[in-house]
Amino acid sequence: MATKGPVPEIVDPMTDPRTGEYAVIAPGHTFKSVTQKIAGIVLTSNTPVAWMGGLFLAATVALGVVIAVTWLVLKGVGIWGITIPGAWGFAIINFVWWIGIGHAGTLISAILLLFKQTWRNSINRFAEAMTIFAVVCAGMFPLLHIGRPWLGYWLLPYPNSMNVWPQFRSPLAWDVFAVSTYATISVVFWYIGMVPDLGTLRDRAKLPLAKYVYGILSLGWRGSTRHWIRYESASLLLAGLSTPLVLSVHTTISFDFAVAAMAGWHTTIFPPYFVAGAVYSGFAMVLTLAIPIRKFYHLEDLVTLRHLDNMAKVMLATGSIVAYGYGMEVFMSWYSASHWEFFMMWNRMFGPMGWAYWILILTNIAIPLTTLWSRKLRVNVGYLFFLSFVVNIGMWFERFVIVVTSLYRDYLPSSWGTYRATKWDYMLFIGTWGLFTTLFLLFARLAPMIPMSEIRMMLPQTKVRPGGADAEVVTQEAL
Amino acid sequence: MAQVFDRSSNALARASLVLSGLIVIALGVTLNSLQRSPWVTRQGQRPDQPVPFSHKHHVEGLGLQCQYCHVSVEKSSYAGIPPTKTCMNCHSQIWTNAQLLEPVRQSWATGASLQWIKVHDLPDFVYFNHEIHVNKGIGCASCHGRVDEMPLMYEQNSLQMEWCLNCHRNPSVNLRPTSEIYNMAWAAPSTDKPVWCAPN
Repeated sequence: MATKGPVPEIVDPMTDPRTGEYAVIAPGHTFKSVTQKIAGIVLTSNTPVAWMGGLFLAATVALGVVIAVTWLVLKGVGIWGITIPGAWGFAIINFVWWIGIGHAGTLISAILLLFKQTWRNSINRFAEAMTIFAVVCAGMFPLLHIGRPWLGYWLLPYPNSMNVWPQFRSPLAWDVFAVSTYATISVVFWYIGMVPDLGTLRDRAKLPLAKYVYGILSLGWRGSTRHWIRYESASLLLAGLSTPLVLSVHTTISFDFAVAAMAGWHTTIFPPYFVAGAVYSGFAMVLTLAIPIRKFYHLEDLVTLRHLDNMAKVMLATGSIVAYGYGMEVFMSWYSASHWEFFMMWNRMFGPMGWAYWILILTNIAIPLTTLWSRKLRVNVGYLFFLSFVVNIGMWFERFVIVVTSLYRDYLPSSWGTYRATKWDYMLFIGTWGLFTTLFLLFARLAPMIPMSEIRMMLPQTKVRPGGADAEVVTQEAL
Repeated sequence: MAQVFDRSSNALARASLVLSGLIVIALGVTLNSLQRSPWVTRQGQRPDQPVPFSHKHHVEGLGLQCQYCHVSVEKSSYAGIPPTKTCMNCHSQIWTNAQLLEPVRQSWATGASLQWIKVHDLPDFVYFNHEIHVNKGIGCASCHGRVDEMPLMYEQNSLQMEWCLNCHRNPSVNLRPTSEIYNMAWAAPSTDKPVWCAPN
């Protein structure tokens, strides 16, 4: 007679074995252990050697920005590979790429907050930092690619002795407002979110200087109920403001192209498709950062496979929207019966720069969208790390294809040209990676990378009712 | 545990909030007035000319008409600075030994131009045309001020774009009969410009 054995345990690395619930963070943490873990990264006298090496390397690469910008200001934008049919090149490609990267940070901190996705808590702080540093890198390009960067302030509406105001019908003027608002709101949201954690750092710091600095930065946070109520409503309000902002900022950037009459640019699908692409590349960058960080600082308990899995799912969703965008562009160029549209797409695929289009299809669609369906691969850290690079490369090529292949062969064959980036294009672009990494490494060393206060609220201990069986344990821990 | 900040920090924190607001406002006001300041516009500055030519003496004192020296003002975009020849019309006979006029005589003798310093120096992307203004009823004094009362030439108005536009958007307040263009002392009839709202 066959005996009924025990039901075999489903071994799932992402399930809490005690409750069967999805584990957002690893079990066994207490308020103290979480705080110790995260604050310990900042409040230590042992700066990791690898961190110093990384900072040195990144700062060296960032010097490329200084050199490239100095030379650019001295010699003019002609040192770049831009030509007359292709007057937008790396500067605009990189601008859109960096801004796009920033968008995931706001998506994580704002949109996921509105949807009450608690898994965002582990990643939102450094995703927001990523946003800010990406916007810093991005913001440089629009200013530098104007031939006279010292007159960039003319883009601002201020009363002047010329009686001249910006042209409010130009999407490039909207860019100024979009990016500057985006940068401001991102910094404010990031900083407000950090205030309780800065308070924790102030209280745990041993060095008087650290106490003093974190004390000033934490603005006298005492964690009273009144503080928390206001903190929560401010966060929600900012999330509600940032959500339309994040959608409109990249929409505005897509208008730079979509408003123009160029075949390949004049497309109504651009706004949503650019936003989806931004979130796609942004999440790829969050993975690029999260995977080494969790390994290096041993944060596997807090940034779990569940987080990586969720991020990969968001990438799958937004990647599919992007793929739909590509498909629709191809379809419309045929369906429009426009000679120019048809040629644009043919040229994009099989013209002299067709290789860029196929790299784009390979890296943005072929590799990610076939593999991300597999859960095994979604929780495979090594694969995700590889994939995050693939998608970032792909999203860079998306902007390259949109900017360059639409411009260098347009309506008049007599104005067909080509585009070849120079070493100064590369130096500035690679330099911004250095700048981004430098800023990020400084952030990782000096600020709490993961919001301790929010992680503490996710612990099972917070769900215990007063007087319950676990209440005593919690009280003891709190002490 | 000792407190990190003592009580005086409260006042400092509050003051810093007020101060940063004030600094932002002050910065805005400063920049706004700086762009219109004489430091930027060079209004009222009297540069060292090679010869301290006095419009006051030649116009008010001697009663010369503007076009005697600035001959092309009605026919050309450029009003012109008189050549040394114009000076020598008189100064070959009068004040022939004046030390002040030595550069003029030098210029006459050698043929080298006098290096006058432009007081009304518009940037070269502005294509200002004297002829059209003079022929359409803008008097010299409207733009250049009471030149007949200037011992040394200086810029009366800012020559900034807003100043040009203010008139081009509402020219009527500055128009005068073309017979009065060179009349430095001309004032609009009180029907056009009631006394109670005229400047000065």
